[in-house]
Amino acid sequence: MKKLLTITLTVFAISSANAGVALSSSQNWGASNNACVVALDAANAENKKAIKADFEWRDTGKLMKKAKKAGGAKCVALAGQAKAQAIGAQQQAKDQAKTGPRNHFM
Amino acid sequence: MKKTISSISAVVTLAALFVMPMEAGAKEMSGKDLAFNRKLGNCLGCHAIDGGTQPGNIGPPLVAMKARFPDKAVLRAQIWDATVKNPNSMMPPFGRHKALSESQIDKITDYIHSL
Amino acid sequence: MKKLIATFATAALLSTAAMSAQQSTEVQADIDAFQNHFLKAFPGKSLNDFADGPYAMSEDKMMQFEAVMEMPPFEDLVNKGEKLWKTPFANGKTYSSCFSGSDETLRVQFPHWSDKKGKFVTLEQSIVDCRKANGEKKMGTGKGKLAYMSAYLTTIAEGQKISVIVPNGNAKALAAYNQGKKEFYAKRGQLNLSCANCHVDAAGQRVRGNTLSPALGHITHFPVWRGKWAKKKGDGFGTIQRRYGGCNKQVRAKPRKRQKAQYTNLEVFHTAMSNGMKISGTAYRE
Repeated sequence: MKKLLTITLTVFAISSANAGVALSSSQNWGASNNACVVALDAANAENKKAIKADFEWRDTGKLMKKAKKAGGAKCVALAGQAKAQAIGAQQQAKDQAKTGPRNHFM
Repeated sequence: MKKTISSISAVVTLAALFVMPMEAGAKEMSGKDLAFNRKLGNCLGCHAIDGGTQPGNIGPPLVAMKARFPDKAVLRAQIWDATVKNPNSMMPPFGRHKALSESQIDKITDYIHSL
Repeated sequence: MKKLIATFATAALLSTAAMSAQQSTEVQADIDAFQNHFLKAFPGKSLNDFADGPYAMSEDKMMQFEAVMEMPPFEDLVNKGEKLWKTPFANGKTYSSCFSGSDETLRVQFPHWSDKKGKFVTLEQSIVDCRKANGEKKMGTGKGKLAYMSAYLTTIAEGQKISVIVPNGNAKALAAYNQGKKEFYAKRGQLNLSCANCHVDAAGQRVRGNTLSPALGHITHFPVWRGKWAKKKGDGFGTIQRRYGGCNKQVRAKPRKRQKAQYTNLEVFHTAMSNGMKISGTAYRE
């Protein structure tokens, strides 16, 4: 949890720093990073819910890390995948809330 | 504000453009390649398929598929999310959980239906 | 010092109390249903046969297993574990001083409910706690030195019966057990698989070339020495909670931290389901 928080904070710090510099030099860069921040923010918010439900998937965090590293358009695409995973994990938590042995025994 | 919105939408378009070539790379794999690949379909994990080595035996062998699934859409739906028919199914919901893309599922469906 | 002795005495008393506590009726019903399922699904097998996991399911596999076990690849590491276990701390005390009962009984004393801590404790966690209480450095609970010591304790516990007790009428203990039970039956990860899917429903069947082991009896031979782990890191020993992490990763679920509530309570449920089975000693697995 602590680690996640640090990662998230780092993501924010790096991306906002980049955005600041980029905006003054090239509009496209700034916009990309802005969208990257927005997309990562959305993915992270959903994954936090998945973590809270105790059903986080293996690759969601990795996808967000990769997105942050890639930046630009690729960041938005990967963050979108991460968000979809996080939503899937939340649904799984709901579907599995009342699971038990009844379907398994002879 | 307007500018931000327009730049965001520009980026989304860019992202879409970016995703396409990535999918194009995957598109070069045939339905059979996708089905046999351990990290993608991995159908052989549980099903015997003619031409596949060391198949698992948790699911039924994939033979006479046209007879078992006269409607190809039903087969596709089963690959997309097998838990609709049986909530306890061991088969991963490849489409619903986005373990495969829609186009990858199309290709795998075509291949499996041909068996 | 006096206080320490008092603590130990209390601990001893508590654990004896836990030993004599009666099993929750709900848990006993779960155990009976679980074991009956496997006995029905594999006619002709007796309870202790399930200790051999996938090898009990195939004669070929059993022959390979027996061949490996004639010259166990893990003997040196178990000996190392014995040495580590018997080497006194800087303060002159030994690991055994943290526990009650003889070393041979330690494996089957755990996991057990601790009234003092308000939770279940595992053998591995207790070894870590023992180091801490004696001013020694922390130790990882997945593999390495702690796994060797734990494997030594499993080796000398061969033949002892597993007997996890969820004290009857203890709501907190039952809630912890139920968390572990849910962890076992809930589908997790992108591949949407539960422990039960593979190790109850499909036990004895194959994923590619690998036979899925029955969940009944899993716990009889942990820490386990796996060829796969030896190949990867040069050290084949891993604790049960290390194995849980591997299973979670395979179904594409994020592994939990070891020795936290989820895995520890899963270990409680998982071990309790094999109650009455004998510890088979350290064993080899693919």
